[in-house]
Amino acid sequence: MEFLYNLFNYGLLAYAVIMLGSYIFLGTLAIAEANNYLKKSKLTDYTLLASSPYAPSVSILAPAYNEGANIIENVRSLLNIYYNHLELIVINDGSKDDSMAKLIEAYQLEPVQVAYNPKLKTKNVKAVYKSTNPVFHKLVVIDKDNGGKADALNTGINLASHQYLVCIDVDCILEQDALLKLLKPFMDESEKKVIATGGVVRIANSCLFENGKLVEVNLPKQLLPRVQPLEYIRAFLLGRMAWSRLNGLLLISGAFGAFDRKIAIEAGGYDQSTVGEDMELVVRMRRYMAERKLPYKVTFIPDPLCWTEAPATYKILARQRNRWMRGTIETLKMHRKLFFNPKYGLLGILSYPYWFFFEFLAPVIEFTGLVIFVILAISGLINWPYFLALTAFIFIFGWLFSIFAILMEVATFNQYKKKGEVGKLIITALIEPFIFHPFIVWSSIRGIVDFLRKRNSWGEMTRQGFGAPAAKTQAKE
Amino acid sequence: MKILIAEDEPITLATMQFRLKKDGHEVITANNGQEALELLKVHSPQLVITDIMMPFASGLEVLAFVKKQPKPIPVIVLSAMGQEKVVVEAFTLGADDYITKPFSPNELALRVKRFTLRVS
Amino acid sequence: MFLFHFTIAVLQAEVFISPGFLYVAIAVTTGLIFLLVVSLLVLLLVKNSRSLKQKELQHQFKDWLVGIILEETDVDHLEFEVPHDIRKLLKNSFARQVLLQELKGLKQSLSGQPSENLEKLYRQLNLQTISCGSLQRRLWHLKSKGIQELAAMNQQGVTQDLFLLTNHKHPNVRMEAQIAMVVLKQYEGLQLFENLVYPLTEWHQIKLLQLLAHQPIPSEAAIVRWLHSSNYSVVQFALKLIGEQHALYFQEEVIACLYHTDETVRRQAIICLGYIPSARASASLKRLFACEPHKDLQLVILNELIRSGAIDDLLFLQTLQENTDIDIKLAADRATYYLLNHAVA
Repeated sequence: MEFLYNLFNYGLLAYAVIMLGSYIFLGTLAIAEANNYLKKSKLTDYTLLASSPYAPSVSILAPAYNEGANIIENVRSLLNIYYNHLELIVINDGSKDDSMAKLIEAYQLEPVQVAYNPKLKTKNVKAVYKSTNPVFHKLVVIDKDNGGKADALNTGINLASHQYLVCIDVDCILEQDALLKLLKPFMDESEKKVIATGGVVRIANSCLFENGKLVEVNLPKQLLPRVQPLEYIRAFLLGRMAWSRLNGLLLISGAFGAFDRKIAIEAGGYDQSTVGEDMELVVRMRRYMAERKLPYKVTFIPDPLCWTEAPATYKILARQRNRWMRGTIETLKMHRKLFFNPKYGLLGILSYPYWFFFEFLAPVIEFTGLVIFVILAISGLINWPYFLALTAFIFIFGWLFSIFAILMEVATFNQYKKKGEVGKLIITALIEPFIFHPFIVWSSIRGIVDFLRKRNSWGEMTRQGFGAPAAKTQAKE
Repeated sequence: MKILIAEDEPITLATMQFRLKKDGHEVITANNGQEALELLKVHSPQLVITDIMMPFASGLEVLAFVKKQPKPIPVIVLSAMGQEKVVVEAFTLGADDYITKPFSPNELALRVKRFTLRVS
Repeated sequence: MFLFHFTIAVLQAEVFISPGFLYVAIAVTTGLIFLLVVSLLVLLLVKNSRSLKQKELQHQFKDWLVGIILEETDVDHLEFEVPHDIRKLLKNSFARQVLLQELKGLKQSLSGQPSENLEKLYRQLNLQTISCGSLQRRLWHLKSKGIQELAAMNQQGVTQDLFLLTNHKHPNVRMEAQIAMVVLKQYEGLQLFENLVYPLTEWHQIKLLQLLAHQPIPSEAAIVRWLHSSNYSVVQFALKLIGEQHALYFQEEVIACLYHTDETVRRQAIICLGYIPSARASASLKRLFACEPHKDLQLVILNELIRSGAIDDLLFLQTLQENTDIDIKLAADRATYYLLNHAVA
């Protein structure tokens, strides 16, 4: 009994130390990588990619569900991306509103017959539309029965005829050169095959947009959306940059990522049984390459390229985090073969275990700890001064890490240039552990519970729209 | 002739402005696509010269906007890309002329002159 | 992230971590936070002031530069006028850097007399010493920056140094050096290209292509050597170049590449033939189709037949309608459709 108790103690201590250590390690790697990228980027003229006949050919896939209010604007914004070998495939996933009618009218669409070999199974495609106006010749619209995001994307993959796929959320606003920067990594390797590239998703709340383009960056005014840039900076700039350098990146944001079409199809396309389809596909594509012993790479671009709205209310945030946790668990479960499996190299030895222990288990351990704490506190077993000191240390370390992330952000892309914004960001970092983090842990636990109960809904994400008061809903089933 | 030039590189923009002013034209300048669109709503130039790759709204947006107007005016597109397909694309979208960078300011002035003759 | 502090605490980890150690840890971490916040503020200030200064300098240089750019110089023109206040500004090295950046950017936008004027100004103000200095620095990105500047400003004198750098250990430096050689010397910059040791990335290739696509090939022999290089990326590049230039006279060599051992080369050769269509080309493509093991390449062949094929190929395509593979059938259908509707007899 004593032995178990000690093991448990030591184990948890080791866990904490490893976790803190890995944060420091990742942080350092991330700086090096981001620095490298920035230097290289300054020396690069990306416009060549927009026009060279040997630049990657791209199919942008934009699944849409009940986006009616803004769909015309969003499509127009995407069509105005300057890139030569481009087709824009908008997939109307059985919207219940008038999205389809609006599109047909605005873009002078008419149904066409397209002969293609659908390699992935999807729900029924009702019709494929192209524009009669040569100005919109890059646009293809697929009208299909509702099947969820993964299904919509797969339909797009089937129809796409170009080398690379760029999957985006249709209401994501892209920077002018977003596509160019996202695609360059595919051209940069000579030894390994780049199978996927991820981009940074930035928080659009309170930013000004006009004509579908970002005009002014502002730190979100509301409290809840304000914490999220901090989170994203930590996750993207520090986390993913580091993993990219190690070539151990497991997750590419569903809002903005590029994939090699052939590999995506051979790996089986998006899986509809999980709500974390973006992460799951990347893991599966990595497995595909690793199993065939083909040298490959998954890269990550830290440039702020894509802007999207973050949840502004606790309710919606809860749903989002709940879904993220369920997605993580589902992916981890589906690929449990990777766990500490040397056959998969870094993917199995480092990436998967890290995700398992520090992304999945972390909220569990924290929550359990809290429960135990409460029990022990009631039983009067707590050494208060020591406990408070330890808590203080952990909080301060957390603040250190957040401030470090903010420093990274200022040193690299410095998006929040207005007076006082960085200061506000720092203050947000200070109050985060009190108003935000516990809530996230709670949502994650709910996610685990829901997973165990096998609830399978995407939940609803009500967006505030980019400045518009109208709300949009997006449901899976 | 009243001309609107949209170009994000300030000195290149100033060069074009100066050169065309020398020829007697009235020149309004915009530093990016967004500004160009706003100026277009206020002024009524008789010719638009726009770079394609600019921050905020791209030159293509400007081109599309101009061509949608009830009385469309000629648009000269400036671009660093000279491949055939790209040029064809620009013309498909309605451009009236296409100049590749690096370009000569004198050549630009000459092309503009062609449109002056057309207008008068 | 603020993990199991509760957990550890409640399990009385003071067994492992003494309170003293903890207080030290807190002090250290807090100290670090202050350090970081101070660095943050300093960094912000520096960045902002730099950015402001740069804009200001740009503004100050503007009128003067526009004047120089549009100046019509005659043969015996020696020097551009540098007003006193500009001269004063240029005493500062940051200002010189900003000016250098401006000149480089402008050189890429403007051609003709303005371009020459910019070059002259660059030399007149001795800015090439900055660029050459960058070449000597150890950090790779500074070397690359110097290389780019020298190439953009057409400094023919440095080709020897650049040539040495084409074998530098850092891949980016090697690439920039080689691109610079081509900017300065076009095809001559690719001496012994066939002996290139390192593989060319796709990006590298399209950069070179951008520079050479409109320069007529001076020496057939050189290209042929490239096509026989043991460096497959060089072969790939040569095929791309031939395609871009529609250089029909290399047809035989390209057809020979159809049987190259490397799949990427074969693929490139097929695509190349699409740019130099002929009866012989489509005959070779059809022959390759029969013995090509990779279905992927077969599909590329069918795609290219659209460009290079003629009415006679319709028969071949029709036989493929019997093929069991749907993708092949579809591709054959598509090719047939195009040939029927856009026939170039």
